[in-house]
Amino acid sequence: MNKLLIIISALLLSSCMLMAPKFPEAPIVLTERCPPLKLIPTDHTEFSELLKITTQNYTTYFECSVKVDAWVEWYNTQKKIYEKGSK
Amino acid sequence: MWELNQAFLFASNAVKNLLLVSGLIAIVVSYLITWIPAVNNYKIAIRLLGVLALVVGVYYQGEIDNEKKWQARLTSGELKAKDTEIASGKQNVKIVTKVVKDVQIVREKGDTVIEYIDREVIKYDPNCPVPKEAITALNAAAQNKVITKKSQPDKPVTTETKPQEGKK
Repeated sequence: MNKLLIIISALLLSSCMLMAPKFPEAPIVLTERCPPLKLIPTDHTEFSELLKITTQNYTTYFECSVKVDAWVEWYNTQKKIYEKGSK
Repeated sequence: MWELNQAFLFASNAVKNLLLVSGLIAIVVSYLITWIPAVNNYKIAIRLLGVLALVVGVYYQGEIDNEKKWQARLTSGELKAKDTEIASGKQNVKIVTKVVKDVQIVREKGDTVIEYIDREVIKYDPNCPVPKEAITALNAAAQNKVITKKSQPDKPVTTETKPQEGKK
């Protein structure tokens, strides 16, 4: 009788894991690290070249900013979906 | 594994139902055998066994009902979990599409600035030499590094005319 109770309890408890939704994997594009900024060559750099590299670095910043904002949005939305599904 | 669990549950439910039915039959039989002298002596024992089987059978019926309720909740929970996964997957696709599009727009805007530099700023290159100190500062900022005293720019050279000795 005890063994039967143990088996039934184990079966019932295993259902707890089955009922909880699985937390989703983050999209790969949101888990990529931000690239390092470009450096300006120290030998014979023209003013226009300096400006181009600075512009590229600013672009890198904005790309990273888009990804961070998307990550925040993804996390908040997934949290809401997960909490709704867990009720 | 799931099929094995289901088979086990089916078999155990069948045994429990059989116990209940057997108990009922035994009680009825215990009253009927009153008119059969050969087995009349066993009617009390059969009745007792029948009552016992009935009680245990009713108890197990409650267990079966409880199990059914749990199964229903489990199925409902599984469906909810699946719905959550589907909603989550749709959200992922939406966000990835937005990121790819926004990054593309950022790059295109940056490219227009570089085109402008190549067109308008490049003509000032001969008149705008870039001091090494400016490059040092920008590179240090790009790497988030500290500029030490050694790498600070040299002080500007000032020329002073000293009065020549002997002359008034």
